[in-house]
Amino acid sequence: MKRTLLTKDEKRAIPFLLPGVLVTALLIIYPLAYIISMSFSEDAMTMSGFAGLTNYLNLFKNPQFPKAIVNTIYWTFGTVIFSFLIGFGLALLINRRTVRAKGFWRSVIFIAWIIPGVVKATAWKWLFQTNGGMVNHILTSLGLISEDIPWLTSQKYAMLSIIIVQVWACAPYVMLMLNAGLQQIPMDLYECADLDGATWWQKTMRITLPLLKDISFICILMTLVWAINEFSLIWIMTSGGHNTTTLSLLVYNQFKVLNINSAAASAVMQLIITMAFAGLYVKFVIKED
Amino acid sequence: MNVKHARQIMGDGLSYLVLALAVVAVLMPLAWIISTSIKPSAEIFSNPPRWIPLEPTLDNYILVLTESNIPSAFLNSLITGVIAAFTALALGCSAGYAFARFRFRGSKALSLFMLISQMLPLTVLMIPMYYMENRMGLIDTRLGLAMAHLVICMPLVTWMARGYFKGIPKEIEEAAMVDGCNTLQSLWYVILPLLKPALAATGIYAFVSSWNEFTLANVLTRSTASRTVPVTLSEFSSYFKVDWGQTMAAAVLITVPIVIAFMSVQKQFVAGLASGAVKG
Amino acid sequence: MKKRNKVLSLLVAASMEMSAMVCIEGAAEEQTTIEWWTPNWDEEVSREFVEEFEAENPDIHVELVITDWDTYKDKITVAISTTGAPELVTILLTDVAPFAEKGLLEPLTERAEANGIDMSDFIDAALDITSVDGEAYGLPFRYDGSGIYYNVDILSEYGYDSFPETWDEMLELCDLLYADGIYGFAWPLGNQANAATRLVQQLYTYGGDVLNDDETECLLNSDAAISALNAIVSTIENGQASPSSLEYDNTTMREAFGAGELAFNFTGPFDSSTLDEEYPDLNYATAVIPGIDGMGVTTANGWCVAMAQNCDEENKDAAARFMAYIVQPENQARITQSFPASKTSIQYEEFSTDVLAPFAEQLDNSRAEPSYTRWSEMEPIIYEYIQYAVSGSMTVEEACEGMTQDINSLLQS
Repeated sequence: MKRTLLTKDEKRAIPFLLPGVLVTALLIIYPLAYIISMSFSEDAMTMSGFAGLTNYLNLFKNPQFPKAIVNTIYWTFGTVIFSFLIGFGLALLINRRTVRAKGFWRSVIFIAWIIPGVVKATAWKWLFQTNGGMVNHILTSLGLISEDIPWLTSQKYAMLSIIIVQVWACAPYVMLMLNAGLQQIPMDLYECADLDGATWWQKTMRITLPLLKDISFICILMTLVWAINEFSLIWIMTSGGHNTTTLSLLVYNQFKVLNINSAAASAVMQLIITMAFAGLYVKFVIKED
Repeated sequence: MNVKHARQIMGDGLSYLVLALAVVAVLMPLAWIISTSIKPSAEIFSNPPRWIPLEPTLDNYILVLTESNIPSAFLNSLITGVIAAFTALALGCSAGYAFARFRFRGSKALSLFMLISQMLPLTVLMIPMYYMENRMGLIDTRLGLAMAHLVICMPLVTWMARGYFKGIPKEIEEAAMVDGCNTLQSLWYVILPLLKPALAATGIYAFVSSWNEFTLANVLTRSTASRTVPVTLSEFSSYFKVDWGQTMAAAVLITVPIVIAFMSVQKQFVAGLASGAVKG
Repeated sequence: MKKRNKVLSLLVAASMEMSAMVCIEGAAEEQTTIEWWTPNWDEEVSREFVEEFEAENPDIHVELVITDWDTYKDKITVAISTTGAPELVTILLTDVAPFAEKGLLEPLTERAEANGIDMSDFIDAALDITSVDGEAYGLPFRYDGSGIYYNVDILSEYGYDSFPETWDEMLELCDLLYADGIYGFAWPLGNQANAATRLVQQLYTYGGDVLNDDETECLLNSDAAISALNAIVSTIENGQASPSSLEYDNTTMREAFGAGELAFNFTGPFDSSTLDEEYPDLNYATAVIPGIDGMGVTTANGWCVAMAQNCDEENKDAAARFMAYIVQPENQARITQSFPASKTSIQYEEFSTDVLAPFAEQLDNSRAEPSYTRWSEMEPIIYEYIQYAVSGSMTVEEACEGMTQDINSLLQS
């Protein structure tokens, strides 16, 4: 009786598990296998002929690819760093003992994260218009700029503008998560520190940050993966113009001109990069689990 | 004491100031959407831009609701989202329950797979999904899009449900079993009612994910037979002009149901987000 | 109870889905259903065509799918690449050759003639663009090039009673205007397709070309190309063209021209009806494009219907019948936003007005927009380097060299 095929628990688990696992496999594993084998095909659209690494080599030769990688790096680090710093700052503020109406601040700020991505992008595209755009109007009337800034239509500002919008959307998420983490830190830790005469800065560095380390890491990884995967926001706001073509946009651009060989290879590259970070994330979650 | 008190007040003042600025930054774009949506076309490009229109009008909304494809897109979004959310809820809860309650080989690997699936780039899935659905004749159908949206909804619901079930002490179920329930009965009559608010929140979140999704919908839909609201928003720009007034009116109409949905389940959602993504 | 409601609503949704599917199948048994993807600016006339055609041909049902300018090409490219493609699509004349070379379009000459279409009635230049090796893959119904719209009031204020005839004279006018803070014109650099087309148009005026004849080598580092790009960069730098050029596309340029913010505008004949409608007080006239020493070159393009190779084989005959209906001379006159591509209907009175006359004249000095197989991949590269040059992060020579190198490595991959 030592070695049965299935344990009792396994027999009970299977009917619960099977439908979900099958559907997920069909919807995720099959497409992934499909795109990977496309990327090794001579004609990716019909998936015929084995091309070895040719599609990848062609991709590396294409000047658009290294540009997309550089753009993706700017975009990702820009959004992650600022989302985290701003989100963290807001979480700390809301968590202050004396700040009232915590729920109000949290929910109103969180609206930015809730709004459908397409609406975010379209609204901000409209706000960022050079002529008659609200952002330029406000900056001009505050006396901060004397000439209209071409936010979405210049090399200098396009990337900055889309980063601003992504930070606008993601910082509230970081705020919410970190605020939840802060609430779990026992108050008496701070009270003890107060008795020892610790300053606010010391308390933040010695108590808050170390205790928030894991949740911060998770926030950072989530925003990072979102950034790498973001498509609609950039697509709607700049269509990848003015040096804002990230990997996601490159995949789509190659797909839409039926350069499927390259599109498949780019897609697999994007998959590898995302999954490397997702792997890190999973490692952390296991630790937490 | 006085110095400390003064610093306290200053600190509070500063905190409120920063928070108020954050709220303004969040609400400003929304206010601008709404403001544009009630402007007659002559005022939309007025320079300097005006927050409150001189002659507010509902014409844009009326045009969007009567002349455009937004109403049919609403129906498409609704049906797609409902199919995706309910399928995900049914399959995901059942799988989540298995992960939480039973020990089986590959449990860890499978549940981590679910977690990691939430992070798959949709642009990667877009291409094979297109060719798959094309062969199945599912391009430009709500069913096909709902199927694609399961990719987003399934892992999410499974992972969240796994957390909820873990949070319920096994003893409750055992007590029900002692009273003569079998596994299914105890799940149906005892556990699920306990989790109702949490599952409702998860379902709504799944629905919202489908409602907002653009990348896959952009490629898998073609006509009014299946185009959802996010992809219909570009309809107001033609070769000759972009109708910002109607675009913004449509944007408001897309956003309102989502904000209401979130507000109605905010508590459960926030708890779910934290437990779903953090502790499992 | 609540739970039951939810289950119920799911069932309702599912059954709606199914009944929708059943409906479509039911219709298919009685008649042939074909799909036509038509852009939103043609929607109204397209609907009339469908109504009239269906009344005459009860065995055919035409579904319209309305496309828009921003996405029509991406969507159609993807849609016609696989089975289940729509039967008919409205595309730019220059889209035809790249699609046809990939085997995505149905040859049409024989099908059109079988349906009573006189192929020799199409304007030769237009039909040339949609033909590969003498076989037509698209039937043109609209053909036009750009010209100049100018604000008569502004120009007469500065002593001009007609538009300057050469590029240098035109720049002199701009300098006069700029001294008073008015911009002469603008470049549509906010839109990839518009920007690339304008660069090419300028390039053609200087006698250059984009690629060599067998499409293996990029010629954008030639002197002509440098002069063309320099024309864009220097006019913006000198205040002859609006600094908002980086924002503008053809639509916003027309709006700025209509509002009197630009003294003149390079665009096609199709803008006149919109201008009349939206800016009834605007006093404008049209002229041919100034060149080095006389009329410049315009790029010409237009719209056509094409049939997807990958659509249902059984529907192709029905689709050809409807296509023949669309391109009848009198129907071309109805659906075109500018000139028809038919020798018969271009003679109609409505196409020889004062406003349209210069455009007709300009068409004699025109070249087709590029229709290279990989043009859609080259366009973003060209666009990127135009931006570098205009924003000053590269010199004109560096930008031309950069786009040439990038396009060459694209052509090799």
